[in-house]
Amino acid sequence: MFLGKIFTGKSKLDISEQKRIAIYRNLLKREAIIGGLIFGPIAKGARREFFCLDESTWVWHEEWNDEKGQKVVRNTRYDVRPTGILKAQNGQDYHKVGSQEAKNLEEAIKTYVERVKKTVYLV
Amino acid sequence: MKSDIHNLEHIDNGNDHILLTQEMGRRISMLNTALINVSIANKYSSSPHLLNGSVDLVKHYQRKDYSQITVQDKDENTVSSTYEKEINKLDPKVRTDITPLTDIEQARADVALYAAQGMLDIEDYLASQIAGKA
Repeated sequence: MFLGKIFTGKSKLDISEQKRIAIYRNLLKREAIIGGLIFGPIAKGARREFFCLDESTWVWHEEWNDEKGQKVVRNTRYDVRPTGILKAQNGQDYHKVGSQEAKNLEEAIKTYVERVKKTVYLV
Repeated sequence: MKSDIHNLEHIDNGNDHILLTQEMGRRISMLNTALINVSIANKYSSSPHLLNGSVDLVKHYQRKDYSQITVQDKDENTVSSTYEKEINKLDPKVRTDITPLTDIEQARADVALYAAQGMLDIEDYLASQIAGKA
């Protein structure tokens, strides 16, 4: 799972801190599943995760098989700044997104926050 | 979908429940800020100058130092104002009774209100402002 790569640090942290990280990771995993469903149904054999990494960073991870059965992976990272939204895919350079994509992302984030609060955190 | 959040793996005892509650609060706070951040980014991305002065206003607002609120207009001219004038513009109930806000006033008011309501961490916001200008 893509989220697993975010928390791979081998640590000498105390048990409580390790547990805190594990809990946080678990919450994020749940959010990512709900986030992945915002953009519609996921095809059989495919995987999609969308989640809030921090206050200004959003991650969209998608995996599917192409017509030849080859696995395709696309990682998209959005960096939200006060003056606009930057986007990078599969480790390439960041570029500013257009106004329509920015609006679409905002709508997706609103839906995400609403659904996650309601279904994960019960608020 | 019903949440079974308290049945997460790793939750074994009372201390774990405290950790869980803390981390849930952290995530909710983060999501609130993220929502504001994307709203600000879209609202002012085409005209970042509208945010000039908003940070100063918020700092005065937080210190309750309302005697001198100095902001900059679109042409970066320094404009002094009083708290009474600004707070009247910030209060939605009063807004209808006064001249409609200009874009720059609206931008400042938005940020000040978010901060006043505790929905925006002003230190993070300052840091992101600086990062955005870098």
